[in-house]
Amino acid sequence: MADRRYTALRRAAIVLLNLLLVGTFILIFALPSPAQRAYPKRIPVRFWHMWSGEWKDVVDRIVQRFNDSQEKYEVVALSVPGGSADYKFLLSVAGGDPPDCMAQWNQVIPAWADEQMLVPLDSLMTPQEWQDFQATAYPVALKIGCYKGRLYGVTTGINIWACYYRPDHLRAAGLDPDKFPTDLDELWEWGQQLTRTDESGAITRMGFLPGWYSQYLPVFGGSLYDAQSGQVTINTPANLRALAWLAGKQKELGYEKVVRFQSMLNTGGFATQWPFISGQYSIALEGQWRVEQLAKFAPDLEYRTAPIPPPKGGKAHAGWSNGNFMIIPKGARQTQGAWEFIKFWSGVDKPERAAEFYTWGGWLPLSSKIAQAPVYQDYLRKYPQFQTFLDVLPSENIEVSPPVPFQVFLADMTGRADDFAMRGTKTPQQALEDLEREVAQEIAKRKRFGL
Amino acid sequence: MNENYLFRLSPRQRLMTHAVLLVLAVPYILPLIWMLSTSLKSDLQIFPREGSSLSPVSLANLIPRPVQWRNYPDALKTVPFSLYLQNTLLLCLLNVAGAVASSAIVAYGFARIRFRGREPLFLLLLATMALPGQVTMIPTFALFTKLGWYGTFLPLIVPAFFGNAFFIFLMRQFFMTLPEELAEAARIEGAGEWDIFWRIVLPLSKPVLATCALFQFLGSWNDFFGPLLYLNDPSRYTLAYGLQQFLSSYGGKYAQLMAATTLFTLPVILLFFLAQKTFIQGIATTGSKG
Repeated sequence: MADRRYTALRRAAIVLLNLLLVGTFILIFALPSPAQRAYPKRIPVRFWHMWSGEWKDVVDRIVQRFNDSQEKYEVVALSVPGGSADYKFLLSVAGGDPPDCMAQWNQVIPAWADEQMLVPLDSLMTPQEWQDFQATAYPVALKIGCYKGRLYGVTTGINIWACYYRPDHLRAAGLDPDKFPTDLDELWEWGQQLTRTDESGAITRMGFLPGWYSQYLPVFGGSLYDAQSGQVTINTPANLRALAWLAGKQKELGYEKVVRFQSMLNTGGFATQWPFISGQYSIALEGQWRVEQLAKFAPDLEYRTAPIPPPKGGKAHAGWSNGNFMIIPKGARQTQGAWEFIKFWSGVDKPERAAEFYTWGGWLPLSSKIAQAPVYQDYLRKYPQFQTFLDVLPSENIEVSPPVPFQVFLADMTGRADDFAMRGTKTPQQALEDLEREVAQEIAKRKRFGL
Repeated sequence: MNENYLFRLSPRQRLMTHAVLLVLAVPYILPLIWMLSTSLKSDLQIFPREGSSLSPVSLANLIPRPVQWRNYPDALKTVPFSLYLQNTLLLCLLNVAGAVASSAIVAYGFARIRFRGREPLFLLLLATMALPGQVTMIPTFALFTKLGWYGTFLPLIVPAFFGNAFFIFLMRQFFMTLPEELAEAARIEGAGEWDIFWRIVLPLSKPVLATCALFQFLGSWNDFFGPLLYLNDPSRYTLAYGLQQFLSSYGGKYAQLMAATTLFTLPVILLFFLAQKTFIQGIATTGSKG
């Protein structure tokens, strides 16, 4: 009996295996393979990036445009899964066969430039071109792209943060959407009026939740870096004022209550799950990319944008910024081809042509010349909320992560200090003192290792 | 534990044993069940709307309602699954053939042929297992680049044909348990070392060969970093790489992601179930019976 059952089972397994095999072969031959190189006679320029999904389609369109405009080069784009891109890149540089050009988050620039892994892009320009570039690029693009006076990265999209707010919530709370606060404390008051709780006191709607130290630091006139001395600055009165304000507001709201509220939010990977759309936030600090997402996923939602208002004695049009930057690694085979592509996309040579690419991705441009191009102006008319970000973009008050080789360490430690102060585990003063000590230790350690 | 041990227990004891084992198995099987269940759910069930009675973490929510088979074709459409499968199968096949064949030959040498320096050489071989991959990564990468193999399948295939230290160790231990008399008898009959290896040792070593083949298959099937480092042409990507690509492109689409993960995991699970008896036999390294 058992033998018969075993034989039946075995037969079933064999049938299943055969079915799987047939299925596999059908799958293998049913779907087409991706196309090979379109212009095999041209010089290939290998371009790596980390965009995927719908963003990859935009990048592919730009690459196609470049290839259509060329007779000499063909850009061959490769999307590398985000988390592993650095790994692949570093090994390819160490192994002596890097790509010709790569789009990277700006945080890598100081460390990689310091290790002499990148080609200074100003060396590919004539003196006049370099002068023009410095005169026309937005200050933030230069702050991020330059390291020790040399240009290592050209942006194809800067990120700026601003307040998104819902006029329907404001009106219902008796607040005038046309008179958005111009003072941070007033904004906090508005937030209080907009916040809703249930009978148990749990927050069901957050009016305005201040948080994220790096973003508020510049608004208080603080900074983690002194460009004059080239030193990291941590425990300064302005930096302390910013952290103390944030920690104070967190305490007022109740840290536990905030955590409970945030854990209740449905914040998956979808743009549609942004709690601002579902009305769980009335005012939210977010980047410019939400404008396009809202147009796509919540076209009927009424919302407006405004810059973060400064506190008394603070700085207007301030905040923190980052972005995507194009770099050329040392050892690249086609430096000139890569530079042609960077100029084409970023708009270094023809801003009017490149303006269109920025609108495809909903990106903030490299220079005002691009912003003034008719196609970009059309985009602004289509998405008036985008104008706020463009208004903030030229500001000298936009801070970037300090251009030091240990930028990632500094960002991690600053985040930790921020967290300690928010939880109330340390006083803001103590958190900054500890951060200063940790950074000093790191600098000393790097010196010991000759870095 | 003796394999008849369970049959010597009373039905009640057997029931209790099974109950305890089943409870202990739950934490291990739960992620797989979650994967399968999520792959058949709608987004609405994965992320219940405000006020919904469904809790995303409840046991009741493990049952897809309704069952959404569409997630599977959707997942297959987002990445060229068939192409990646084709590449993966090619790599798996060549790696299994290469690693098993080359390791068996080397292992036979270490187990059965006496030569000067055999023991130190074997120790040296074992020592290579202690070297972390990160240490050899850059020199290996530079070597393959110099050979002009960067961007081709060769760095992912050729090394398998030069033996695998762990497999050599496993096979050597297995070969050593085979009775020497069999080889002696063959020698008297005029057989050479190759004949003994091919006609006597290999046919008796199916369990260990199958175990190594399975290990190699799993290694090649799941290999993400090899294709990441050496391949630059999307038409050569493998399933493990494709899955990572899917994750970074559509990480928020849990249903499709889990459908893709299920498709990626299923062949390996099936293979393991079908070969588990041989696999366990091979691991136990019992070459002779009785």
